[in-house]
Amino acid sequence: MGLKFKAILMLAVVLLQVTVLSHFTLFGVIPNFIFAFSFALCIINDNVESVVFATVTGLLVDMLTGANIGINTLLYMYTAIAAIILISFAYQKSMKVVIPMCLAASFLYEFIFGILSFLFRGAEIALGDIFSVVVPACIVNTLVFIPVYVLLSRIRFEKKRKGIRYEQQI
Amino acid sequence: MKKFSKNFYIRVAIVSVVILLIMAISTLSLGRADFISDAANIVLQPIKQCVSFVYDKASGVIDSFIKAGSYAEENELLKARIAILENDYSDIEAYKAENERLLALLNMKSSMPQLNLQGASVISIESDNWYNVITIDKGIGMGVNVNDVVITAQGLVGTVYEVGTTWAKVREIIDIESSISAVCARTGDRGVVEGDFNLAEAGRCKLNYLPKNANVVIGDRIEISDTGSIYPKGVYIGKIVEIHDDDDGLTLTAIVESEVNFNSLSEVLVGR
Repeated sequence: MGLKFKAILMLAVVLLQVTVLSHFTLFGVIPNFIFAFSFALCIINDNVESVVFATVTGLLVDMLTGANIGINTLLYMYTAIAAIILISFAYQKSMKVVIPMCLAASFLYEFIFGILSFLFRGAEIALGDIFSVVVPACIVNTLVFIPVYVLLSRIRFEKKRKGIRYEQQI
Repeated sequence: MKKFSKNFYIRVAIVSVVILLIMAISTLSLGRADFISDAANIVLQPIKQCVSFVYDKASGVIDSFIKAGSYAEENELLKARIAILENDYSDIEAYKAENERLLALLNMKSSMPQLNLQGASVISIESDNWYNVITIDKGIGMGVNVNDVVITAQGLVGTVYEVGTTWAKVREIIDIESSISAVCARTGDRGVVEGDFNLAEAGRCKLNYLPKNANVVIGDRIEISDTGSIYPKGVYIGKIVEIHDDDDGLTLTAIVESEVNFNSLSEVLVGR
């Protein structure tokens, strides 16, 4: 996937999330397509470019949503770094590896995001309330992540296959 | 941990510090959007609006498809509800009309104290191609007699020609056998109101035997005559709508149109 293609795709996903997809709820939470998409890109590409990409995406989300600017930027950046490090340890990108990773990453992302949001707003909230959102949110995000990951993997695979065929022709 | 170089982590640390600084600044901005967010939202606002617009339109269409089943069910329920309400409305309208008719009759009764009127309901309208006759639910037992007049707020309906114990038959003024001595209220010209086969359908009858020099004009009110009549005087019959010279050249004939709707009679007053 080219940088332009990824950038356009990410912008489209961000815009869709803040306009259209925010109308849908699953288990009482709004699925975070941006997180799923960004995480899937990091797993598939596992390079510095993916970290930069995730960071920019986080910044874009911060700018377009009501969150304090910087929260998503940092979280997306650290999640991307953690994902790439962990996947390098796993040596494989099968579903039984990436799904638990996504669950864990999504849980941490949602949990830290919830805590930071309340900290920055100066509001008090019970830990139980955070978990009541975080737990279904990480499950829903993972459910969204699966088809996104499959789709992006297939696109990458097809592109790689075409590239090999092209090289062979040469 | 082999994935990234040492420089990468240094850069990450620098970026993190910068972002934290931005976070701190934006937190202290107290309601006012920071410059970066403001600029991004200004730039992307048209696109967001466009996407939202498309979504709103599309979701309406999708929603109608998804909820088609429930809409059909809701539609059936609403139809049933409308039917009930229409029925209720129809009843209310009927009650309202009845109330207005009864009120008009009551007023009429009050305005004609010389007549001993009582209310009656029309129980059948035996109006076919040849006869214009109704039956009311009052008879001899209630003091109704032959030649009593039957009236509504719109005027004379007819006269009683046959009486039973609890019923009476009324010949409408438009019936071909009906004949009532009448007078023009404005000029005092006298004549005889008679039913006509060809005029009955339009609720009209003839005013015959008006003198040639009668001064009647279209629109004059015709009432039951005060002399030479077996019926109580002054009861309104109708208005003149046409005037013709008779063939003999001695008399005039006027066409009188009753305001009574003979096809929908329900409550009447009867008496003399």
